[in-house]
Amino acid sequence: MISTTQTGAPQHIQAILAGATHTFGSLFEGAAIHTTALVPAHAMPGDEINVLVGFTDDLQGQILIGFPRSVALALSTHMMGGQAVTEFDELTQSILAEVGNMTAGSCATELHKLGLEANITCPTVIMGQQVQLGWPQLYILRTVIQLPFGFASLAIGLKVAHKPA
Amino acid sequence: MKILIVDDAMFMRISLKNLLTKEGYECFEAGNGFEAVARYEEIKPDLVTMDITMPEKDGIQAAREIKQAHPQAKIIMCSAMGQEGMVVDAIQAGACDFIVKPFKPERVLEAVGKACGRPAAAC
Repeated sequence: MISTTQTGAPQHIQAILAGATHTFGSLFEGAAIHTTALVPAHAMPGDEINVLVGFTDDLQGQILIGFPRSVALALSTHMMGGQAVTEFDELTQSILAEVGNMTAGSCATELHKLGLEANITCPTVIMGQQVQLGWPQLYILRTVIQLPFGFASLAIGLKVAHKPA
Repeated sequence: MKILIVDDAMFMRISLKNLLTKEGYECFEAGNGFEAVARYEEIKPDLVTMDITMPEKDGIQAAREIKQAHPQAKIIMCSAMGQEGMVVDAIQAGACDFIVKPFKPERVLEAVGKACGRPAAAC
């Protein structure tokens, strides 16, 4: 049984939010995550550029980080120490994938504090807003990530796996 | 000093290479665990920085294989996964240090400097 806190979100979701807040806060000064709404999984919107990372072991599902193209390029420029990134090329994809990897890794570390063991898959960068994914739940938590150079989104579709007795 | 940087993310390889090259280290790259084992044999680096979550072969398995063939090898794990179990797995595989991403450049330089100045048997 997953208990909830005063925010109403299950603890494993709060751990994901804490992990994502830690990563984005470490990478981008002033970054913040705002919980927004539960969205029906079948209507989950993608963004121009999306990074998908799956969770395994005690957790089932995935997180999806979405970026408008302009934010993805500005974020990449920041990650390259200010060296201007203007094209969406292999390096840009690698930067965004690594942001997804760091976020999911930090989430796994937070989940461990709850006694939940989670491993993560290699990140996948997906272009285009028509992202159709097999989410494990009917409703997905979609949050807004406020960055110094615009807004991104974080969709969390994770449930605690039932282990065989 | 030769350092083999193992990470499936091109961005991370470039970042580490830029950082370490500026400090006078000679850097080489591998994009997954299989490549890491092969490149180790070819280059015989003084140090390896090893990501964990990679396609083909993960960093824990690659570290284990490198240490088995070269017990004196020095390996620093460099991963986004920082939970205790992962650190224990890395140490058991033969890693001498563990850096959690996202990291600050000084943390990397400290770990690399420490590993390079350490006698092989201590790592």
